[in-house]
Amino acid sequence: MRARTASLVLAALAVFHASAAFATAKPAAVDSSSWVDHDGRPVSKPQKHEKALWAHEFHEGITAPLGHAFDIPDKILWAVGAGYKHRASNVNRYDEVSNSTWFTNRNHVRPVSLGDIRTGPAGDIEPTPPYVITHGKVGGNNPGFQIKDAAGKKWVVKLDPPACPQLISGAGAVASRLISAAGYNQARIVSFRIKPEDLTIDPDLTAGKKPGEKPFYQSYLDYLLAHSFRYPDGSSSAEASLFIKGDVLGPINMRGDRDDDPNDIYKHRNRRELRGLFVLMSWLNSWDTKDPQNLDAFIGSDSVGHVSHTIVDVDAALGAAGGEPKPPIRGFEYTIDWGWAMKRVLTLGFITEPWRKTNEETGIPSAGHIESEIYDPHAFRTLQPQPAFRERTLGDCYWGAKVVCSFSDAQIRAAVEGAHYDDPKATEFLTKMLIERRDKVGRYWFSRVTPVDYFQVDGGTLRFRDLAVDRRLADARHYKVEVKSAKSATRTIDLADTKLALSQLGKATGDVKLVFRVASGESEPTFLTLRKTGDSWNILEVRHADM
Amino acid sequence: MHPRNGRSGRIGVPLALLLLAAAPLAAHADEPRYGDSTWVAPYPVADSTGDPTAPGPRVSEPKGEPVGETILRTPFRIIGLPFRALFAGFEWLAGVGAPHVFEPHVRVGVHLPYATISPTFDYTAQTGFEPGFSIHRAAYREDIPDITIHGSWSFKDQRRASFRLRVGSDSLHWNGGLFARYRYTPTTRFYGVGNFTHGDNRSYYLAEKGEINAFMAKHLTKHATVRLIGGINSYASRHSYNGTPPLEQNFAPSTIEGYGHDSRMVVFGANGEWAKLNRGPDPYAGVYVRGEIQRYRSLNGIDVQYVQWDGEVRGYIPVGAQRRVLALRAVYEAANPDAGSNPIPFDRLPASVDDYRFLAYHGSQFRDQQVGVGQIEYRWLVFPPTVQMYALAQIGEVAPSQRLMRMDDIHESYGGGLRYFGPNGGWVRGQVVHGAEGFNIGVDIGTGF
Repeated sequence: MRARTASLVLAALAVFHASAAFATAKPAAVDSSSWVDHDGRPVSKPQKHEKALWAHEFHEGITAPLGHAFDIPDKILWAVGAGYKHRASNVNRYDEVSNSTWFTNRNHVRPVSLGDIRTGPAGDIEPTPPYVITHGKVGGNNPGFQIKDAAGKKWVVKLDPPACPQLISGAGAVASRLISAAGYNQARIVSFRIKPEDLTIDPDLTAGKKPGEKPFYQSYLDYLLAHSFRYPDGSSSAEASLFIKGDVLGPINMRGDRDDDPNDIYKHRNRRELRGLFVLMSWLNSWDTKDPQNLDAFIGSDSVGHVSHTIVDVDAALGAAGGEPKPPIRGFEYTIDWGWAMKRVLTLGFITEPWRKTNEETGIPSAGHIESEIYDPHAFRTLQPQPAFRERTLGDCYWGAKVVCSFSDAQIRAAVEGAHYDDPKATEFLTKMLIERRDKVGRYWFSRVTPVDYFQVDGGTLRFRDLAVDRRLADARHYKVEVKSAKSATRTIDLADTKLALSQLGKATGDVKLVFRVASGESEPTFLTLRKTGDSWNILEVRHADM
Repeated sequence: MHPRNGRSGRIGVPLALLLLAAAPLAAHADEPRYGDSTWVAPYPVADSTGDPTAPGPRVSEPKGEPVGETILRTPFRIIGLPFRALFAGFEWLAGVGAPHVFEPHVRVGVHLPYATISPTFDYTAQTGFEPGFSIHRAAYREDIPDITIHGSWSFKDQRRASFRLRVGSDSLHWNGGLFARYRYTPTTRFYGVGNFTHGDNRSYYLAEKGEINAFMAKHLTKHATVRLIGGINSYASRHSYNGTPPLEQNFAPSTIEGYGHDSRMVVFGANGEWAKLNRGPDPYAGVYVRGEIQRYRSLNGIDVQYVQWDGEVRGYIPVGAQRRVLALRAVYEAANPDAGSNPIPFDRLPASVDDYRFLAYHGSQFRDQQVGVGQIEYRWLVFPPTVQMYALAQIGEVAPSQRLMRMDDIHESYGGGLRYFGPNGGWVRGQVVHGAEGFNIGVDIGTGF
């Protein structure tokens, strides 16, 4: 009897141990040289989190900025030179983001083909008629609905405004292709034409039998279609966004983490790819970037799997807004922008904001309102402040600029062509605009951080790239490299090229820190730590600006 | 050697040398460069993207807040806890309430309710917290009447009920309707009659008012509208309860014309307005003029007949840009008894309230047969496009007759604040104003110009 009880207890303990190990499937090992951050290990399904949009907007627009304004410790840390911003958490020794359930290194390490960019994420699929409207669209300013197409695929459909064919659908299609090629998980977005005769409404939806949903009547559909851009054949210009894979768990919290996901160990505001996203969204003018535009989804069986993190709603980008061309202020100010408000208060309204000086009228209905002349990559503002954007450091922005500047002219054109604009002027204009804005991004951030990168020990030579020179944003130039090691005095080497003979390091042993600066510039340095083992040198760590 | 060949040979040698020298440069130019669609990073990730779901290490430990920073922040976090709790409450309220304010209630074509019923809440220091209800049957078409019924009861026993029916719309040539209202306020404030009352003299009486009016409007042009109005009304004043001190404590009732009596009257009149504004709800350029005349005759033997008229002129001048506006307004109201009429009851005299309010003073603090107010505001946008800041200066006066209006007796108010233009066309103004009796801080909803 006692033995039986003991065996039962042991069995229970074993099951408990197994389940506990399963629930907290944290890999114990840490390897900063890894190019894969293994955060997709099997876990139990986390809870769904819904976010009250207005509560979120109040928090990010009012509570958090006021909190920061009266954050005395921040001021103390700043005064003593400690700073209150910390380096991103999930950066490997090459100062890069490892592949994870959030991000996959793509274009800036291995160019995405023009064909793949033109096609966009999730392959070459489009909504196949006929369609059944299964739900109304929940949230957001743009009217729309959810459909199931003939192939059984589910899409969220939004309609382009009456005077602007392909305005939001085109912006969504272009932005999604570039964001995906940059490395982020991204929903597939296409610009397409939808015919009224291809649409039927699920009878249960009309009858009000869908839990929590208002009835959706034919008259409402007629109204929506009548207030969209109509082609001569009666079809409407529309955007379709493919449902992401998995069971949706709710918006991504850009501030904290998911307590119930053991894989989610880094605060989201400290993730490099979310901080650096600022630069990408600035480039794309994606001014409505906020938590509810992103989704977590559980991939796996009902109980075991992992959480994937996807950017889903990016059509408020380029020159588009919800149902109209972008208002001039968007992209330049937060909805509640305390800094600009104070300037206006103190000047009795006589200050002229940059957005009032812009001429964003493109004259192209499909392109909306966007320009590149006044555009300031650093001054870009989303609708509300974003915690991860606020925490961004120079190093994060350099990384974001590196990703943006990895796109060639041809790749940008391919992304714009992927939207299939009817108006060739829109394709030409947006391609030109994105190229000009990309170059501004590069010029701005590469002049603030020494843009030397991709270090490689090649025999007795250390090779690297100067991204500003490679991108033709700067002429070939000299570099000053400080050599610091524990056993010898600091000295400076003048480099006339992007290679350094390691013999110049002399008899240094152990770890040697090299501090790279552009000889004629004042940008923040890039740090490289080398370790000599025997006769060979290995890269120990790369850091841009942030130490 | 052919001279030509010889020349060719002489040129050819340096050219070959030049090409030879340029070869490394050309090779360099052809070398893949970062961002040219062909260059591949010298990292293993370029060959394998790896699988985050496979077993393997994490790239770093989760980073917490440095211990020193935690020590520094902890006392401030404790001090900040009540504020955090307060703002968490605000956020909850925003999450629950804002969708009802800022998002459309009804989508076109989606199920249209026959009528909606919604709770209402009011609060003023005078009447206390006042819950109520509102039933609204919206006119989705112009030939359907728009009907609103409202009722409320305050903790200080104010009771209000109203009924409004309107047919037609501003887009038609005409519209008309009915408006009935009942109000019972045992805490109505009274400061005396005339231009020299003081806020410290506040007292209370019970006011009971009922009225039924009909109106019909015609749009003469897109700028001008005339309206005919007619109706009956009843005003009564009695001893207050729930208000301290009562009127009788500060004033001799016999000196207050009509106090303690009912006055029932029939009224008919007309008004007209002409507006040339750049836009309707929030103009920055243009002029607005309104005038009204009404004749009152008593019905219950108190033998009071009088003519009441009022006029309003507004002007909006942009100051170099649309976002900076100089707004001016002058309003004047007069109630002149007919020859042989008994004096007008005090509770029917024009008073400094609503559009006529003297901003640094209490509402209704001044009342007499004439009231005039002039106001100038400089407004500028601080949170585009809906929140403006403004600085204002105002003068106001009441007098028994027009000829007794004197510049020496005007009440001045100076101040400023923020005004928010709401999604339904209403204003919310929060302001601080200073006058002879000190500061007046307040929030007004739906007032202003």
